[in-house]
Amino acid sequence: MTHTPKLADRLTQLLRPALTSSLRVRATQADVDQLEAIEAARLAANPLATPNPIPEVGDWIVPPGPITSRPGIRFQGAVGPVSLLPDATTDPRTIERVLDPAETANGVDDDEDGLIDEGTLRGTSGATGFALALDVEAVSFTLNGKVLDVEVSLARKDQSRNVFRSTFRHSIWLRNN
Amino acid sequence: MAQSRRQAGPRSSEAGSILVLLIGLAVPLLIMLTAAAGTMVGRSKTLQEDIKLEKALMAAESGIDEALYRANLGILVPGELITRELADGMGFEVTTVSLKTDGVDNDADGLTDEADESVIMVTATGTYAGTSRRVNAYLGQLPQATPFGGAANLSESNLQIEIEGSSLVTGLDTNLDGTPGPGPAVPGMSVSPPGTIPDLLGSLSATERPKVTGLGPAPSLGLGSVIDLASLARIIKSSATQVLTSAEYEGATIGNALTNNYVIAYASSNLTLKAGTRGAGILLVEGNLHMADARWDGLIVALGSDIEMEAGSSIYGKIVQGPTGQSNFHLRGSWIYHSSQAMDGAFSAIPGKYVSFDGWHEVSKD
Repeated sequence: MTHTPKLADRLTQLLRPALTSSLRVRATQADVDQLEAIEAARLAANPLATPNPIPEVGDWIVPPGPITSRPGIRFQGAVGPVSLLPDATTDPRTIERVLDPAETANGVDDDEDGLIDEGTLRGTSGATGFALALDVEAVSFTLNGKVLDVEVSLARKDQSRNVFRSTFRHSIWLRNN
Repeated sequence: MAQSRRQAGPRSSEAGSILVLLIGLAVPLLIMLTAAAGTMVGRSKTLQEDIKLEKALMAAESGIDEALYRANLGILVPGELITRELADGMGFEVTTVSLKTDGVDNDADGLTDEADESVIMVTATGTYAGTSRRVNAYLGQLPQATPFGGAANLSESNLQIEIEGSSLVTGLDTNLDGTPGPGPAVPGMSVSPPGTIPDLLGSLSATERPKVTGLGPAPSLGLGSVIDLASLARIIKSSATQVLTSAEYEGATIGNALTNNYVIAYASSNLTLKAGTRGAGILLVEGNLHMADARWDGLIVALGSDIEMEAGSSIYGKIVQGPTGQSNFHLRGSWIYHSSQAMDGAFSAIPGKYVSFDGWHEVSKD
């Protein structure tokens, strides 16, 4: 089982220096539909306006609404000695669940191992990837002001195939705008 | 009775077997209890360590706050060591370095100690119960007050302006309740170089010109000063009290001038304010701005190429559009009023002499 205090510490280390304004989420179909409506209204108000590109499902976007129960997040953080420049930020970093190969996010135990929609909570920093936790059945990110609430549901089975589940919640105050 | 007692007693060959059985049961039980206790002690120790580290970080944060407080009072001396003991055994040590005089090209632009390195780097080490954490932050000086020109200030020579219907852009000072304000009139619209007044005039049709009022006859046009929007944007971004992370706000309240609640708000991309959204203070939009049935009291700095206001939207204060290569400025049934009352309120939200830059990061953890 992933040691939750350690996971909390790693998430804090990654997210605390994040710029709140840099938060992005993966676009859902509902996001795309809503952004299309926003853009249509804008162009109707000003036919001379420069059209904004409409994202595709899965693109990292500024969501049309609040960041609530999102399964992944992208952000940038402040970098060391040149941080006096607000534009000097880290490469985009991501934290999201990557499903195990035989699983799809459908609420069903597709690979019949007792775990549902499990995968790896995976982080990336630029081209570098790393695992934060294994056997993650669900993850969600919710932003309240500058506090990012992270909820991770973990599962593990013993030798008798008994499944033990736990959900861990952690709040991180994002330090930079 | 005596006979039955004899019958119930153990046979000599079984004497002591219960004790053996009990010991046989007790030993594994003791082993399990010991293991459980060991696990609990281990977890408790880990938890205590986490708490210690978190308290050390809190102490370090206090050091940053003290440096910012001193900077605002003008008593922060670069190079000075600040130490303080806090409650519950926590403490911090703060060192400060002026990047303006450290002889280093801190922003890697090939220049050493130039004007934009007028920043103080604060390093705070917080300690608690044998643990320590160290964080860095940067404090930057606020720029001088900037004259913003007209009620709407554009920054381009390539202008596409549409002012439709009952729309109005006025440089006449107007209070938040719509009554005339006490301040002097300013131009309704202005343009900063490289834009020129002929550029501005040429982009207004004959029907639009009477809708730009203010200082002088309509159309009331003026030349705005060169605004250091990069510095202004940096300050607003760094000191923002609300970061707008959504692309659209509907029926939202982002500050309220009526209750003297002015905020500094920042959006890093395109922004739509609609359906009764109200805001007050300073708003920086690093993208296009679209307002539909929305009102803002104070200053808006929009760095995208497009500004659209429609459906009874209004700005009391000023709007400044950044240089983007082309400016599309479109008003349909919307109004922009110069308001010294709203501007005074908005700038009251800016902190003292220094703001903390977007540079907070942890240096080390022991």
